[in-house]
Amino acid sequence: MPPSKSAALSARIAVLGIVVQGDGPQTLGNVALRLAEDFGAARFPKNTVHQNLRNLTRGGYLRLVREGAEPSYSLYEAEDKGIEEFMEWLVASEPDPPALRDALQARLSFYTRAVARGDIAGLVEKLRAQQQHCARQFAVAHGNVHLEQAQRREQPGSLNDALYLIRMEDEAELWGNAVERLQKLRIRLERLLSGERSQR
Amino acid sequence: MSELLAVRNVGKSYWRGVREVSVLVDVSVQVDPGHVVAVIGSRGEGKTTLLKLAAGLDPVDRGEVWLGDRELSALTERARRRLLGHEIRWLDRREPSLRVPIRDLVAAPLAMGRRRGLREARSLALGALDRLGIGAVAEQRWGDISNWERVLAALAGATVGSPKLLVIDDLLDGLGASRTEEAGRALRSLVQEMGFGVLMSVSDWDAALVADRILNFDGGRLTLMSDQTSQGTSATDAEVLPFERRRDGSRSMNAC
Repeated sequence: MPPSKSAALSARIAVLGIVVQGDGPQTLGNVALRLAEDFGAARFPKNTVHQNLRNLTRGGYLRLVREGAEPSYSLYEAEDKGIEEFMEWLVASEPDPPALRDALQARLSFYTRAVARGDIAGLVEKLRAQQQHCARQFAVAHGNVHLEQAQRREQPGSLNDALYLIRMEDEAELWGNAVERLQKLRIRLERLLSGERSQR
Repeated sequence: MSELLAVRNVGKSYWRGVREVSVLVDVSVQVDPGHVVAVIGSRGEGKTTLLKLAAGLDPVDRGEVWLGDRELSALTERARRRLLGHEIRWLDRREPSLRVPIRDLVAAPLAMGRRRGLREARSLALGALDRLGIGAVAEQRWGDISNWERVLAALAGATVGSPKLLVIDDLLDGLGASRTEEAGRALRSLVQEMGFGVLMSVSDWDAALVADRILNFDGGRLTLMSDQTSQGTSATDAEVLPFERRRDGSRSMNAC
């Protein structure tokens, strides 16, 4: 299968990037750990590391340096083709607007063709639950921002540290904006249910 | 740590004709010395109403507001006004009514409220402006300085008298990313140095990130979004979560 040229973060490019960036050959266990630490919010499936390491090796992007007694101990290293592929993705520009495949938008779209009050009430509850999930993620990201800011006040960090703080601030804002969007949409639907909003 | 400000189960309604509109329903907020608490919400959700109740500018319909061991609603109007000038300072982006140089604008509350000599008040005002890096605008007037300098001048004016509590309404919003960050740093540094508590309203998430505790307005109620003070870890809707840190040492780009 030809490599994906999408600028979006796929599990494939995340796994490849972790091996490329690693200090020497990486075990499957190491890759899985970093994927969870750095891209936990992407919620890739658990078996994704194994599958992608295998496929990337078959495709000539990685090579198996040593097979471990257990799969998690197997060591992988990037081939030149893999490094090139990752670097291309890293610097790729995104000339087109990203594809909008938002599940909420899709649900609203389906409901606009045939909707009952019960459907809206159900959606309101789903939105409330989703808002709470996003709020928890916001709290975690804000915790990281807070800790990093405190450390930077103690002693100025390296360029990497500064970039890490920017990334954490960006992640916190992403979750905060998600909370805000879900809340606004929920309130609109609640007003629709209560009759406060005119049904044109 | 002892509570500096405790807003307990307050409610506030307004009358629109014959209809009573609830703005705040059973809202509680606590601010401790040395902590920044941000209340985030869209315009018209009740942030400013809450801040006015917390500062003692407006009376509550239900509930209590305490500053240390004093209940604000039990104080006379005069005592509340005096608190507002000294221990509590209100800060927003409204243009000041005094048409005097920035130095005197910052010095005015000291000279008037605390009966300090004008010379001493001016000297303290200059120190406050210098500390925020805008000593150069001391002789200029409000209309002649930039929006950013106005934010810093307002901060200088609010902190020059060493208040216990700053109540900040929408000061950090719409400044742009780098200015918001800079204003947040300046505020944190003042909090660290002077030890006052801050209750502030914001509309932007990036402005909220400077806070130790963040609360979100949702239909007139306040929801705890995150608590990074020593009392809390991270929390939402009263569910306390374990603090999670996702950082390792292997993120250097040099390895590429």
